[in-house]
Amino acid sequence: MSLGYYDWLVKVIVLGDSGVGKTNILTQFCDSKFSQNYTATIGVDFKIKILNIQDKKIKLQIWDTAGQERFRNITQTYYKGAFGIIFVYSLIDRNSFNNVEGWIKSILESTTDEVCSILVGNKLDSQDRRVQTAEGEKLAQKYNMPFLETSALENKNIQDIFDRLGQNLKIRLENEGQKVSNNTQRQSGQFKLNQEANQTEQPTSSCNSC
Amino acid sequence: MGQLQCTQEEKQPSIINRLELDYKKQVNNKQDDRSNSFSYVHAIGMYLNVGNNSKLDEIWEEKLNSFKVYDEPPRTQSNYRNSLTKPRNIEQFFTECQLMTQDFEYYMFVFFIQEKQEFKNYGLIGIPQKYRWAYWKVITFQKDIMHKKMDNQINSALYHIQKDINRTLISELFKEGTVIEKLDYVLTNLARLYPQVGYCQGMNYIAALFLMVSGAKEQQTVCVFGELLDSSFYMFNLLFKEDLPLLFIIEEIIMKLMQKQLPKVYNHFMACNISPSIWVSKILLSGFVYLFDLLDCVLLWDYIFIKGTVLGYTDLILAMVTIFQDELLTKDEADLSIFFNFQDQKVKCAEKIIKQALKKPIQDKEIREIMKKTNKKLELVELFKLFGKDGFDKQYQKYSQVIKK
Repeated sequence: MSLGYYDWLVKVIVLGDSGVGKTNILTQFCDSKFSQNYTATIGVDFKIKILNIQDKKIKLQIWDTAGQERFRNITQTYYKGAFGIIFVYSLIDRNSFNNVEGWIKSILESTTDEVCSILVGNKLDSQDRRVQTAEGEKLAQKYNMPFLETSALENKNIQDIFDRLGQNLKIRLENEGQKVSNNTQRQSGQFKLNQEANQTEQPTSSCNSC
Repeated sequence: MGQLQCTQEEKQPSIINRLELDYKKQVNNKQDDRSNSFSYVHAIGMYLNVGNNSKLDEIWEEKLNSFKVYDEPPRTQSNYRNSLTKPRNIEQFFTECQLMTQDFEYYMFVFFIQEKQEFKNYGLIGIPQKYRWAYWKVITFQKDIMHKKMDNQINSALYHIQKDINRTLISELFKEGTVIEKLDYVLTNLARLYPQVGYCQGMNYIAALFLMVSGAKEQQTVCVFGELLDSSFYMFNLLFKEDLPLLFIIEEIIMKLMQKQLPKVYNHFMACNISPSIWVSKILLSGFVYLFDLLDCVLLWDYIFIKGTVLGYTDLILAMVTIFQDELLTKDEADLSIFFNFQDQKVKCAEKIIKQALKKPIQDKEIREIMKKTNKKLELVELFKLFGKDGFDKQYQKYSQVIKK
């Protein structure tokens, strides 16, 4: 699968309770479709997408995870090296919102690296809302991350998730590039520059908070 | 273990003349009718025709007929059976087990009891669709599963089951309310029978496949799946319980065997930074259903039942990597991670995989050696150091959550 030139390769994980629409968000974003015949994800799935942010191309390596608690052992092994995290809950499932902090903490416990995150409340199309917009905003503020309400079904704000995340990733990556030029010793597999395209820049290890 | 369990010590024959199935000649007259109603329901199995071979039907009919003792009077359930001369344990079995009701199931059961290895050989040659569910039942059944104690405190499991029963769309059939109810019945009862397992995503796919093969017989599906959860050969309770400990053991076994038998492929995966566990976990937890064509899944499950242990999975996974090794070596990270999404790619390859698996089934000794050498801190390492040995069953009882009867 060749997607051509890119400036950076970044690993992104999508986390959240079972049934909140993680896979449908990704299918809408990567393949521009919504499947009514959706199925529960087992373990983890993997997708690649190039994101254009201004003059830069970011190759996203996106890991879609199973939401059931029992799969944590599997999904946690994919946390390592993740640079972007999308936390998803369902606007019609109060439990899934209550559990978001658990997901955030699982990231904080598993990695010392700082990451770019975004909070997403999905299923905006439904009339049976159980979580108010203000609650989502408040939670996002608490953890200093952007917030969006989306509908994968109606393709509403889906691209925005990745644009917002991409903007922050770009800022980080450029800052990291500058840091690297000051400290060429730092190495990490966390994200990679396209080596062929840009031989002068080197991978770096961590980034600042959004 | 139940007295009816197939013994695992018997060696698999090295060469089996597996009959080729003809997929084009499938007779599926009711295909159109099915969409109108689920009233054909009790023959869902008919819609899961994996392929025909008239020779295969003849071989099986001849064999099963050889177990008829007398000319048949009109059949009247247990009275009929009681009129036959048969070993006492079989008689008792049928008195207590209400889940086998057809004559051919009885003949098949006698076949299994009297000629276990031959029974397996016949399975490896191929199983006609009309006999498949009976074959799966006979090779796994324990008579007392329906008498097990049920636990009603399974709220968490019920919550997750409700989330998944409407999205187990392995076939259009699972959009129909009646079928969804049956799936719900199976998963809920399994959670009650094995409360410490409860419900794990993936079980829904296996249950749905079994429901299709059985012809929507939900009670029988509970029994067959229950045996997989219970048995020290399949150990599915260790596969699905919290932390999925058996999954990590099987992954370790597969990784080590790949490293040894297919070093180029193994190194390629490592170089691409993709762990085979991404599809190994899907295959194990969903019984191939998540990735493979449904009809292929049925054939692969034939093999697992005949193998009679969870290592049926291991044989098949190693076989599929072996078959596709050249192609795998040409793929990059993204393609490697989705390479075995055969359902999406409409690839059918179960026959090839089974033939390859029969060439080189994994030996118990190999498992023990891998466990002795591993430096991974896995929950079941000590148990699997005894795999295939006398002390294994006893240790298994300690680790597993076999429910009190």
